[in-house]
Amino acid sequence: MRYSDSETQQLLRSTTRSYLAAEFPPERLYEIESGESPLSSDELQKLAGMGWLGLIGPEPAGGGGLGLLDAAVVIEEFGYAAVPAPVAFSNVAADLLARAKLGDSARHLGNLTGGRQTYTVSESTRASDAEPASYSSPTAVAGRLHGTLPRVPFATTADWVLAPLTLDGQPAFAAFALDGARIDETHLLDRASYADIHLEDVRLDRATILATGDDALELHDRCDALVTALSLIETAGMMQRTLELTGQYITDRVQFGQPIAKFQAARHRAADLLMQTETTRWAAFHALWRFEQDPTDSDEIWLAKHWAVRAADRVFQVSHLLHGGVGVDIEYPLHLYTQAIAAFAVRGGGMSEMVERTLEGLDLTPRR
Amino acid sequence: MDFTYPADVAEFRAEFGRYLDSEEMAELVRQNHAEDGWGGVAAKALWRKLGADGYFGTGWPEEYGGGGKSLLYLHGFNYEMGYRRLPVPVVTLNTVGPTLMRIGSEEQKQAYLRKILLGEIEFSIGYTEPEAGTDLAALQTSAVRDGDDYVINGQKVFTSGAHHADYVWLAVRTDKDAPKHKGISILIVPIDADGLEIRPLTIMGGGRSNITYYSDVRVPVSALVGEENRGWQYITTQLDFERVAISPIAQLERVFDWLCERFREDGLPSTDAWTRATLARMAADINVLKVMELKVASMVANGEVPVYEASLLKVLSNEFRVTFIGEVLQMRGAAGLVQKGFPGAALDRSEDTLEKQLRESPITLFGGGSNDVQRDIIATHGLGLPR
Repeated sequence: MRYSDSETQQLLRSTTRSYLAAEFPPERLYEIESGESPLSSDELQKLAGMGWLGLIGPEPAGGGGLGLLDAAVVIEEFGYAAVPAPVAFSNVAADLLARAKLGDSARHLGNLTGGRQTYTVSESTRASDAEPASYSSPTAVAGRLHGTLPRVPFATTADWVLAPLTLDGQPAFAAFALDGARIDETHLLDRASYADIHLEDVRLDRATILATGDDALELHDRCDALVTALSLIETAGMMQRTLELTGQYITDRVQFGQPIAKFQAARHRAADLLMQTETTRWAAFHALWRFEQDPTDSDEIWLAKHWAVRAADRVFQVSHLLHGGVGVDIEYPLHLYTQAIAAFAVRGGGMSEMVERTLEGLDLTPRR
Repeated sequence: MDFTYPADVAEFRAEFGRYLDSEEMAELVRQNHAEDGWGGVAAKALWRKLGADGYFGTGWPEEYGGGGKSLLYLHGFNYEMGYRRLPVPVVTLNTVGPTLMRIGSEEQKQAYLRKILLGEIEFSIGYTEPEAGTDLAALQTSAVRDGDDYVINGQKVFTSGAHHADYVWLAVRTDKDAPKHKGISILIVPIDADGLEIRPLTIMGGGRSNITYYSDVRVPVSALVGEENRGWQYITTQLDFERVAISPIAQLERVFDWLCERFREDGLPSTDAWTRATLARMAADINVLKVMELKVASMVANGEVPVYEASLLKVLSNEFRVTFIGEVLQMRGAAGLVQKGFPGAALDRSEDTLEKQLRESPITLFGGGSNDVQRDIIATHGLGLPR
């Protein structure tokens, strides 16, 4: 048992950290965040060139062949660097494509790992978020696609999105081509790139059916679990940087004639920040490890997110409290992190969904 | 990262669990549950049995009669005991024993280590004084050299276990002119020494602690542990075994599992939103505590020192505990307040009541170093903040 990076993980971490620090200095991150100049296709191509968009795909298909924990280390570094790139989502897509039995999934996977096309996945909407009445889940009837996938991350730059579909009344899981759909860009709290995808009487052959029946349900479950776990880890990376920024700030900031880090009230809040960060991180990695050992066991993922949603609130409050006015200045990086951390707590299944999933995991079915 | 729990430790835990649940142990277990886990006659009998059957030393080095296994065995041992609400001689096994192994004289090792492993002797810790609690280094109980003896005078409080222990592991001031951290020594004092008086101090949780008075108590110079005036260092650096030994999660899981069983029997009301939400939160919290407990245990087993990690686990687990027991009481309603021995008292299979657990719960907030001090440790060692 070892709660520290393996040699492979150390190498992945240091490579990713130094690359992202060089390619995405704070000025560039502010441009992306403000919408002034979003992540470019050139930047995305470079990330694909580093192999980071298909870390988990099997090697024969041109993927990175990494285990989930190794891939997660890279994704955590994207969180640490606050670079809003579809790394978590693209890797989930790679994982699902590698498992899909139907369709031309091998060709898709090759295109993904080769950087020829970009892929994303839709997040869980199981908790019935308050959607516009006109929005309904994708269905295919008589060879035509209808429905909406709301707030799909990075849909403005992706070529394909993987999502569940009701196909002639039966469960299915599909890759939808985005060039046949209406893409309405939308901005969320974290200012990353999202879009509502509207399928308006689109020909069914614009989608690749990856699975049907039980296989589709299995892919859907796996998609929800992996997106949640990897987003958790990306968020843990953001929390870690938030913690470091805060620790540095209160060490440098002098008030009442001494660094405020010497005041016990500030120290104790900073200690709480560290506790929330470390626990979120280890619960996330442990949950992902458990899921990798046994893909039918995602219980720990929901438990970890339940914890992380509350930790996100603490991290948001405490880091801003300790930073004072500096923390809300948009030329200081804290907001890049705290906005995304707060958005994570709600996206892809918030507290209500975690409560229900957690109770399911406890299996409190009456014995009589 | 590798979170795989070693198969041999898992096997040991399963085997040890079966042993504790066996017919052979049933009467001893029952007596200990009746004794309420605070040590005493039943605890001593249980410890002798565990010692004789070789369960005390699995994580100790072979040269001292131990099993030479990973410290994870020690963690597993403590977990299985804690889950069944059985007493562990924490101080004797995890503070005194390991310290003697490192710095004890040959005579002390011979005199005590084997007997500790056999469960034949028990130590009580004499650290806290009326004016030296969180600021332990301010302790004033003195030991003055007189020929081949030390003469001890002073008073200790919360000398837990002294009324059934064989020795006190006593922190004394041997140099009153030195800076306060540099004039402290450790002495081993027999509990029946002349001039040592023990008075009970009954505590809220229902157990007994003690006040101990030392009036011209004489012990030979050979009772000194390690070097004179280096006691503070011994107190603060011999923590590895203690860190890995404490398994706060076992007790919490026992209650949580019991609670879930109640809901499986009675059904979880679909309309009780508070209970549903709280139950889910408890599960999420316990999961995090388990993950962090294994982190601390594995670090120690791998030879790393979890300085702030152990503090983090302590703060999180004991603050959770107090809230958790309060919320379990809410779920069970006022019936949960009924004390043992009265009609309707809700007992788990270890004869524990919720109200008693609530009474016991505050101790962990300050015992072994208050949470406020732990947060300072986290700020300094975890985050590198200036003191």
